[in-house]
Parts: sequence; C-alpha cells; structure tokens
Amino acid sequence: MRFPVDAIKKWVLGSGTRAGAPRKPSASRAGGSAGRTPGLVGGAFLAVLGLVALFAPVVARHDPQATTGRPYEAPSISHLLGTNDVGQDLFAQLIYGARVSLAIGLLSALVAVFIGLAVALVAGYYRGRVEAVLMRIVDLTLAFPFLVLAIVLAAFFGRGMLTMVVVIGAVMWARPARVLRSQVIKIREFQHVVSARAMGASPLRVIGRHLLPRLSALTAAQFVRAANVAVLIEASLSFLGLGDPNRVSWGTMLYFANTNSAFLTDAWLWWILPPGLALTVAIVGLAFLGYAVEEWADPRLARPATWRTARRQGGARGAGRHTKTIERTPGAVLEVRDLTVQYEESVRAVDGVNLTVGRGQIVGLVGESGSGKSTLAMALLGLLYPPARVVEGETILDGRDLQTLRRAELARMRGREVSLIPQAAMNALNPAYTVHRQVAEAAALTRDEDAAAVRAGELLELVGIPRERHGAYPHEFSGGMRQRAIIAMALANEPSLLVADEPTTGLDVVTQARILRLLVDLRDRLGVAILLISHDLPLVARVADDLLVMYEGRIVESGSRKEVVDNPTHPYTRALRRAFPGLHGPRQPLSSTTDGPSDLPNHPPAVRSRSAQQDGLHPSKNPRSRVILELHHVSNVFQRQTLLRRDPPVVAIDDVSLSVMPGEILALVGESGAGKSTVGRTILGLRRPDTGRILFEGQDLTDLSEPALRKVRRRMHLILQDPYESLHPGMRVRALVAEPLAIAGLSAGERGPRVVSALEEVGLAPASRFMDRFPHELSGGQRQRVPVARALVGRPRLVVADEPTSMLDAPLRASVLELIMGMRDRLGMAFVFITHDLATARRVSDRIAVMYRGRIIECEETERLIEHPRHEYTKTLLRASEGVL
Amino acid sequence: MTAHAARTLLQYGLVLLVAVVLNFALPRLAPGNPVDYLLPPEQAGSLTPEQRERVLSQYGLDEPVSVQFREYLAGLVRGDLLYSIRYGRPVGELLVERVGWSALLIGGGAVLSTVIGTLLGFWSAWRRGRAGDVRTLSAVMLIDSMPPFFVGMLLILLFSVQLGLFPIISAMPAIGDVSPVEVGKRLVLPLATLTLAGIGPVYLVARSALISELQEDYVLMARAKGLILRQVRRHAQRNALLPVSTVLLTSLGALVGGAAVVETVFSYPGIGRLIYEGVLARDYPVLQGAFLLLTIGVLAANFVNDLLYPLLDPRVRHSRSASA
Repeated sequence: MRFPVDAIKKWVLGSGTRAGAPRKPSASRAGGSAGRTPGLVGGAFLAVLGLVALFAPVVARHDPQATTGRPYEAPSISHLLGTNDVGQDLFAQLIYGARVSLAIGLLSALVAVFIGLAVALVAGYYRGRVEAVLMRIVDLTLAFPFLVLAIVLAAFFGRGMLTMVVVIGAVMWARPARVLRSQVIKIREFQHVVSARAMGASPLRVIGRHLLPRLSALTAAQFVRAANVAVLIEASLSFLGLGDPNRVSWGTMLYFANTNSAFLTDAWLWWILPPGLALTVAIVGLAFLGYAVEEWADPRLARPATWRTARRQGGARGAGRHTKTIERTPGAVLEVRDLTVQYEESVRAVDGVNLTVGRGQIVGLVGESGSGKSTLAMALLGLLYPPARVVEGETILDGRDLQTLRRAELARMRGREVSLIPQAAMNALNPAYTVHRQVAEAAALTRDEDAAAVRAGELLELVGIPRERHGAYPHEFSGGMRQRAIIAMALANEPSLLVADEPTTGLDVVTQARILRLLVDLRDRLGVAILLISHDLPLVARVADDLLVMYEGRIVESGSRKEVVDNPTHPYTRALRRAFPGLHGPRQPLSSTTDGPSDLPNHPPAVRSRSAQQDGLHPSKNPRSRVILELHHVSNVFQRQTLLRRDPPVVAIDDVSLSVMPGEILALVGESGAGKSTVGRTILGLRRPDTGRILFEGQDLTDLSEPALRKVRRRMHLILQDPYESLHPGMRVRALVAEPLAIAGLSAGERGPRVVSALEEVGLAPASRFMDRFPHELSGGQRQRVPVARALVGRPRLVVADEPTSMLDAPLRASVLELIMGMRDRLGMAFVFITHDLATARRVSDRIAVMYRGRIIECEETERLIEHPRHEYTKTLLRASEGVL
Repeated sequence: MTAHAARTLLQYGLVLLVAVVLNFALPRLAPGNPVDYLLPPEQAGSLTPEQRERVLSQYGLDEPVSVQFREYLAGLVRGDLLYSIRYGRPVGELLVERVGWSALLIGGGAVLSTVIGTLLGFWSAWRRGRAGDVRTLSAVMLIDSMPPFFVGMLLILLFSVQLGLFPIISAMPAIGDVSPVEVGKRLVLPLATLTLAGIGPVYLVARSALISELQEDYVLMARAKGLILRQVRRHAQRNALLPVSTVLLTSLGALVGGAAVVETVFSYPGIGRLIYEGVLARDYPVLQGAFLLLTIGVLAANFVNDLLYPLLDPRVRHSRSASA
C-alpha cells in the first residue's frame, strides 16, 4: 500500500488564506477545504471496504464457516489465501469479516454518539445541577480503562453481535458527550442563540433550529472518531476470543491465527497479514475521514500558513544596496517609501505607503479594520507571515533598510531598534511565567541576568506597576496592568521606535486614557518615537503630533494633527470625522455617508417625541401605568456550581433600581464588567434576579414560570453587539426577520408582508432584493440593518440594545443610531441602550444611568449628567472621554 | 492545595466505589445462573438442582442482596477475592504474582510513549508542512491505525522468527523468580509494541497544541521583543505541555487495555494475559479481580497526574489556592 503522502502534505499545509484575511464565512468555508484530499482518500478506502462487505457473496466463492478444504492449506486458485486449522477458506473469512467489523464499528459508534449527543444537549442547555450530575457521570466513565471494562462486560453478557454493539457503545459514549457538551455551551452563548431565547423561543425551537444545525458537523466528526475506536475495540475483543462465535470478523481471524501460532510458519503471510492490514486500512480510512470532517466542522482548524516569516523574494540580492546613499529626512527614525505588501497574487494590503516618523515624535495612523494598518505594522517589524510579503519599497529604520537585511539581522533589530505593542495585549503575555520574568527576559538581550532582573524591576515601576506586584502571573493582572507590562517589555532595550497597534482597544475609557497618558509621558522622558495605530480618530488625535489616515491600503491624508482635524481634504477623513459624536455642542445628525442607501427614510432625529404614546398605535394594557419597565432593588449573583462544591459568589449586579417610560431611550453606561449586560439580560428574564422585583407593563415578572416568561419576552426584544454573530449564518434574511413572528405563532402568510415592510422601514428596499440572501451575502451596512428590522417587526414595547454599535466603524455606527432613534420616534418603542461610550449615549439617549461595579451610581437627564456630573466616577469617565489626560 | 487534594481524592473514591459496585453487580445482573460464573462450565452444567442450591449457599448467594454486598465489601477489605476457577487458588495470590510484570510493562510504556510522543510532536510542529513533519505525521498515523496486537505479531515475526533475536516464550514465572536479564528479554518486544501503540495520541496532541500555541499573541510578542528562536520555542512549549498532560489521563486507560492484548500476543506473564486466560476458561472471579485492580491502578496514576498538574499551570495553582 502506498501511503498518500501528497494528500497529507496538502492537508497539513492548508490553503493558507487565513493570515490577516477579513472575517468572512465564505473565506473560512473555502479555507475549510484543506482537509478535503485526505478526506477523499479516507472515504475511498472505506468505500472499497464497504463495497466488498456489501457484495461479499459475489466476491468470495466459499462459505466462510464451511469446511471447504483440508486444514492448513497453502494458497491456491480455489483458496486464494489458503485455509485455517479447520479447513475454512481464509479469503472468504476476510471478505465476510469486513461485514462484521464494519457493521459493529458503525453501529456502536451510532449508539455512542446518540447517547453522547442527548447527554450533551441536556447538560449544555439546562446547565446547573443537571449538568453537574451528568458531567460527573461522564468523568466517571472516562476514568475507567475502557477496554478492560469492555472485556469484563462482554465476558459476562455473552458473545454476540448485539452484545458487542451495546458494550462498545456503553464504554464509548462519554467522549462524544464531553466534546459535544462543551460545544453546546459555546453555541448556547452565540449571539444568535441568545437572541432567539430573548425572543421567547421554546427550548425545542432553540435546540432544533439553532443548536442542532451548528452541532451537526461536530457530531459527524465525533461519529467518525467513535467508529475508528469502535473498530479497534471490536478487533481487540474478538482477538481475546470474545467475538460472536457464529460470525467471523478480522479480529476473530487473528485470534485463531494467534492460538494456532500462525506466525511460526509461512501461514503468517496469508493468515495474519491480510486481516491485520484490512483493519489498518479501515482505521486509517476512518482517521482520515475524521480529520477532514473535523476540519470542516470547525473552520478555525483550517490550518493557517507556516510559521516562518516570509522574506521578500530574492531578498538577499539587495545586500549591495547598503552602499547606495539613501536620501534621508534629517532626524527621522523611520522612513517608509513606496511600501507595498501583497497577500495573494493581486491583493495589495499595503499599497505604496510613504511615511516618516521623526525622533521623539508621536505619529497617529488611523483607518478602519481591514485598511492595512496592522499589516503595515508587522512589515515594520519584519514579522509578516506568508502569504503576506513585501513586494516593493523601502523601510529605513535608523539608516538601515529592513528589506535588505537577513533574517538573523532583522531579528537583532527587533526589541533593540524597534519594538511592538501588539493588538489584544491581554493575550500577549505568556500565562505560564511571571510578569517580571518576561520583562527581564527581554532586558537580558543586552545585559547579564542580574542586571536584567534589576532593569525589569525599574521598567515595571516606570510604567506604574508597584514593586509588590512584579512577581505576579499575568492572570492576576487587570487588562490595564497587563498592557503596562507589555509596554515595559517593549521598552526594555531602549528602542528608538515603538509601534503601538491598537494599544488601548478592549480597555475601558478610563484605562484607555491612562495608557495614552503613559505613552506620552514615556515619549517625553525617554524620547522614544511612537507610531500609534488605531481605528479611533478622536483618541489618536488627542496625542499625535502628525496624523495619517489609511484607507484601502493607501495613505489618503497626512499632515500635522491640526491640519488633518481642522481641514480634512479627503472625503473619507471628512466622513470619519463627522461620524464621531461629541460630548459638546449641538447634537447634530451624524453622518452616515458610506454604505448607507440614499433612500434611507429621513426623520428629524433627536426630537423628543412622546407623541407615540398618544397616537394610539400601542395602547398600554394598563393605562394607569405610564412606566413600561421597572426594576426594584434587583441583584444578581453569579455562582458556579459543581456537584461537590460551590465557587465563591460574584455579585454581578447589586441593588439596581430603574424605570423606563414608553418612547424613552435610557442609556446604561459603564466600563466592561460593570454589570450592564447582566442588567439587560435580567430584564429579559434570561437571568433570574436573586433579589428584587421586575415589572414590565405593570406585570410582575419575578415569579413567572419559564413558559409564561417566554410569552412576555415576545413583547420585548434584544439587539446584540455583533450583527454578524447575532444572525444565524444558515438562515436567510426572510427567516431571520420573521423569527419573532414565527415564535409568536403567526402563519407564513401573515409573516410575509410584515417582513417586507420591516425591511423597507430600515432602508433595505426593495425588500425582495434581500429576502432570500444569507447574512454573509450582505454588505456590512445592510447586515447591521437586519437585526434592527427584526427588532421592529414584532412591534415590541421595549428593546434592550446591548452595545449595538461598538463593533461598527464610525459611519456605520451613525446610521444605526439614526435607525434606532427613528424607531423610537415613529413607533414609540422604549429602549434600554447599553454602551461603554458616553458620547454615543449622549447622542441617542434621553436619560443616562452610570453603572460602576454592579451598581447604578448616578441616573440623570442626559444633558444634565454631561454638564453637571455629581459622582466622582462619572467625572473621571467624562474627563477620559473628553480626552483630558 | 490540601483542600483540592481532598476533593480530588473524594472524586476518585467515587469512581472506585462505582467500580466496586459494578464488580458486585455484574455476575448478578448477567444472564444465567450465578453458579455458572463460579464453577468450571463442564462442572456447572452437570449439577443437579440440589447441588446448585448447595453451591449457592456455600458462596452465600442465597442471602439477601444487602447481606451479600456487606460480605463482599468485608471480603474486599480483607483482600479476599474469591477463588480462581481455573487455578483453584485465591485470585488475590494470582494477581500479586502478575502485577509486577504488568506494572513494568504499562509504566514503561506510559513513560516512553509520552516522552517520545511529546518530543516528536514538538519537533513536527516546528517544521509544520515540511517534509520531515509530513513523513513523521504519516508514519505515526499509520502506526496508530494498526491494532496493537497486530503490531506485536509483526514484531515477533521480524525479531523472533526471522532474526531470532528474542526467544518466543510461554513459561509464566513470578517476577521475583527470574534474573533481571531474563526480565529484560521478555520485556523488550512487548514494551516496544505498547510504546508504539501509545505514541499516536500523545504525538498528535503535542503537535497540534504547539501549533496552536505558536499562533498566540504572546509568541508574537516574544519575537517582537527580540528573543532568539530558542527562547521563543521555550515559551510556546511550556504552554503546549498542558494539553499533553491532560491527554495522559485518558491515554493511560487505553494503554492498560492495550497491555491486555499485547501481553496475550507475547505470552507475557502479566495481568493482561491472566485476563485472556480468564476469558478462555470462563474464569469470572479472575476477570472481576483483574478489572478491580487495573481500575485502581489507573485511578491512582490519574490522581498523581491531577495533583501534579498545578505545577505546570499557574492559573490553576492560584485559583485553587484562592478557593481553598
């Protein structure tokens, strides 16, 4: 048998489209094809075995159980593989053995996966005590030496095919159960599942429509895995003499070969090798198929390209260029000329970029995600991963062109001349080592161990980490402190340039301001130049000396901060600037120039309208109650519960009271972890409050049963952060928008017209163009409108919008805010608008409630809160948002 | 730490309890008469009903189940595990004779396959996609797909029959009765087989763990701050060891099962061979005793692994001491 090395190679290498590729399902689906070749090979192996098994009577001439020859006959025309000790035809046994081995393998895998899936769904969906008990049983089952258990079970329950299937299924169900259950838990928190639950969908609908379709691929993968192991267990049991005495499997053949010491004679060639190889082929086939299915099930496994960084093609040829005199801007630390980075043949991520960073200067580089900023940053450090590569241009750092350096020389530049503060600094520390050790390690590049340890202490203090915390592990640090540690690390060898790639993204506003302040401070004290990369123009504009705006790989605007902010020349910069809401001045309509259809219904925004209450569109059930939602002293405590113990409780929200009027937008503002989202989910009853009461339209929700609560939820709606995640990728727009109506029990005929009008209301007109598309077939702007359409199609009385704009680029954000205000104005819906951004809150809300550590510390009319904050934390938040450092 | 140890111990105690109960329940739940599970088949078949009654009362099987269970537990505590049908000796004695051989084989196989599998996996991950990686991956997947007993048979063919390097042995001495050289001779091929069988899962986990660690941001940071490749490697490998340690938990159970069949192929005088003989002779008391002993062994090894895990992962170390 020739081993399919090429196939494996292809699969190992993957298609390599991942690095830096935009997040698109189409891309990841295409990338998932990496496992196709070995999958086909495995499938082919199995198909051949399956056909042989199916047509066994045709392929084999003899009855495998009948004595058709003399004992121990050597191969002949009549007996292709000779005979065994009682004169049975070995070839026939091999062929018929395929039936038994494969049938038992597949059937027991079916049993195991079926039990596993059921356990996973119940445990993962209901969580709590049910889960604790079930998972403990799973752990118990996994802890047994399963083959020994199977041997004992099979010995006691007799030898037969059915026994075998049940026994193997019974010892193998636990692994699929565990794998699938963790997937269920993950999917359960997917935004589209949370959305469905928030719409009041029944458990049956949630499991059937939202969980199972996303589990199917993984279930298939687990099935193939289980079949792989099952074939092996069957063979082992049969080999030990526990096989069905009336049917011959490959394992049984080997059992008889072994008891007759076939390997002492030539008989090994036809008695041992064929069944052994048949088993190997079956198991290899299943393994290949399993990996392919797993990869298809989980696109994240689609292997990204190799680890080594790319060098420019023929990079060494440029060695002679050192001699070429490079015209330099005096005092420049970094000069980039005509830099072009390509991904595939034609995709230019960075396209002819020129920029200069002077000594001690802070240069801001602004652009939206996908504009090529990060690719540029990686190019500056020589850390581009294939298939990205520099195809043109010069990167002159301290007088040396990085593109001409060898890999080792380039590595010597990193940390010493130029260092990086990477995106997502939360994960940029190694969890296994102390913070001090990681900083010292960097410092040790240019000094001995002892000096490095001292230096690390100094650096950590320099960035504001007190000495007693230096020995801590990263997980004991807050996000802001980790970011500081990263900065200390980047500064360890006094580089002349610091590339800071989104250094504050993911941090709350107050911490953001502190980190920015630290960067400016370090520039002032150490004279290090900083290239500050961010999507957030106002943030960068606070500290940068020069500003560059990047759009689709090109620098479209550059100049001093003042020039760019005051007199933007490029339309994109102007749009970007207008799109950011401010904290002062009139609340002007925000620009939504890019990506917004021109036929967007234009309503005068920001006009306080309580008229909806009176226009009779939605008469309240209880006219006396003007308040639509009331929370009275609501607290919510998180406590992880396992069978044997409870983790210490964490108070998520603490004594929260608030009320919302019809047609009002109440903003809930606070940093991440303040408990905002928990308040939102508690309102919808997705979490039950531990204390306190919730009243919705005068009805007390606190003690309602789950089904009753589901009915109430149909009058509310939840909009979530990421439009991409909150839409089930396998559903069309028509079904997505109609979901609240379907849950409410409307017939398809009733749903259609309402979906059409909802889509047109949010500017997706004509609706027929969009109805039958999948989410990934929509543009970013169109996609964001779908959750909004879904929010208004059922005419809910209250919408909880949880950071609906935080993932959006500025112009898109503006158009979504417009839509939300339009809904309020025309339909009189009330909103609880959750955001971390005060400026956004000011833009849309009538009142603002500020949350801090689970409590509402201040709740006030929007303008009054901005102008006259009372609480100290609100003041800090305001200062941070205004850019006061 | 101590609170954690106590909790873990409790958890394993629970598994042990289940094993003990299962052991008690099996002959009583299985189809047929319990007498069939206590006497040699030919003898059990020819008994008159009165004789059956006598056997039942002799083994206390006519008592209420609760009394039987109490007796059974008391017997376990005394180390009293019924009599082997085939050998007519206490099962405990037989197990003690064989346990050393099996411990040597399984322990050696676990250590060797873990070390070799991890090193190979890391080696492969660093050259992902290059020829060396592809060849190693292919070879490991191929070997992993061969049933261990088949690998054992091939090794006997090659080394014993064709090359004559190792004798084919069928005598079953107790481990104390043979010279270390003799032990070594008997051990080499079974150990090689079991190691080959155990490498696969460890290799695959080590390889994919390191590949995914290499994509972590801290590796990027380690490179960006100027570390040389060897240092970067250490960063990533340290964290890739965590999943390897977890896979040991499950692969040990598989290894014990593998040992049972491998011992059979090599006539290796361990507990696995005893199980095989037990199956052939329908020697149920031996099967029960062996099952209990192996389960205890696997649990003990997992318990140790569980206690050592926090040394590898500071996150677990801290959350545990915090909640303790």
